[in-house]
Amino acid sequence: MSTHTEHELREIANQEGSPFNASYGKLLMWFFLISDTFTFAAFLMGYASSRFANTDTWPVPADVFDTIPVPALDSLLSAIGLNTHHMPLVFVTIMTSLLIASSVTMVRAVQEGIQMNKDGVVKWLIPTIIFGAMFLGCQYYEWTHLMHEGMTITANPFSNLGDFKDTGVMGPTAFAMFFFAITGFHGLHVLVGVGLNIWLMIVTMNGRFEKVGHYEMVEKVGLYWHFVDLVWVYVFLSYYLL
Amino acid sequence: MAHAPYTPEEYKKNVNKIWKTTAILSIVTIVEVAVAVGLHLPYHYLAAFVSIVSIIKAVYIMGVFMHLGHETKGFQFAVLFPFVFLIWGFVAFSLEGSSYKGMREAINMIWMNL
Repeated sequence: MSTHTEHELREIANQEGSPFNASYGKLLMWFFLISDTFTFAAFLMGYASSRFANTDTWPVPADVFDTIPVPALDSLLSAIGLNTHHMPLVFVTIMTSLLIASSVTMVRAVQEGIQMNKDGVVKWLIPTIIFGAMFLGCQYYEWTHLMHEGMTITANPFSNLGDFKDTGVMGPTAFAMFFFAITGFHGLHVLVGVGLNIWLMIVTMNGRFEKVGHYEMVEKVGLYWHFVDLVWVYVFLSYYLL
Repeated sequence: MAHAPYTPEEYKKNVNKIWKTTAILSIVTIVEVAVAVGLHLPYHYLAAFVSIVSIIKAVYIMGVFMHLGHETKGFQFAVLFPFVFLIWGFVAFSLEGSSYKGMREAINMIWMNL
């Protein structure tokens, strides 16, 4: 048997006989993501049954989410002359673009990792972290704006039949409860993802993966980050468009 | 095992593929929101359109960004098959909600009489 370093022996053991010829670390991450998908799907199933049981009063999302809650962006768009009080779903589209952009920069970081290019990995992780943090900031503004309008976990002033400020009647509570629960659970995942990316960037800069010999950790965190993006695509679809 | 570094040609090809996929995803998202908000489609058509568009997006994100397209066929199946149950679950619970809406009065009457 030719001499192998301990690291190489571990790599061989990791590869030989592993299911689907994939590394065990990647397999674990994929199966964790599938299980997390089931958790999010459970939320969406609960949402689906409430939403279709209340079709008379369920508010139209395009009417509820039609402002830009970020004051700076709001002023900027008003200055150009756009009517920022009637921009249905524009803000949430911006949020979706932020997350997709961060996924793209993450893929580039993974590719640089395959090339064993430490500086490239760090260069592409920085915008990933920034876009992720911007998404969280947007979600914060969206939440505080809605809470200002009187929407909480137990109170929903929006309704298909007219908002509370016009009719004096509250809308279906499920709308508000599911909004905060689903976007909050997703936001928690984004927060964890941003934390993971910051950790990843720090250990990359410290040369950990040059020592280990491969950048597979970047790929695994990348899988998690793409999962977060995909979940948002489906939450966006179910909650805001259906 | 970690991937061996790409040759310069492979590297350029892979990077271009990412930018191309990004362009596709951006255009698809814009079209999706424009149609959902701009055209006032009947509800079932809207639901079908948006669902199909989202499946397209998921195929690109999972296949290209998450490299699922590079894994073995068996692994792709192992990851994708459970989604069948999730789609069924979403549809089943939507129908459940609709049916409850129609029967809410009767169900509550029976429940309160217990």
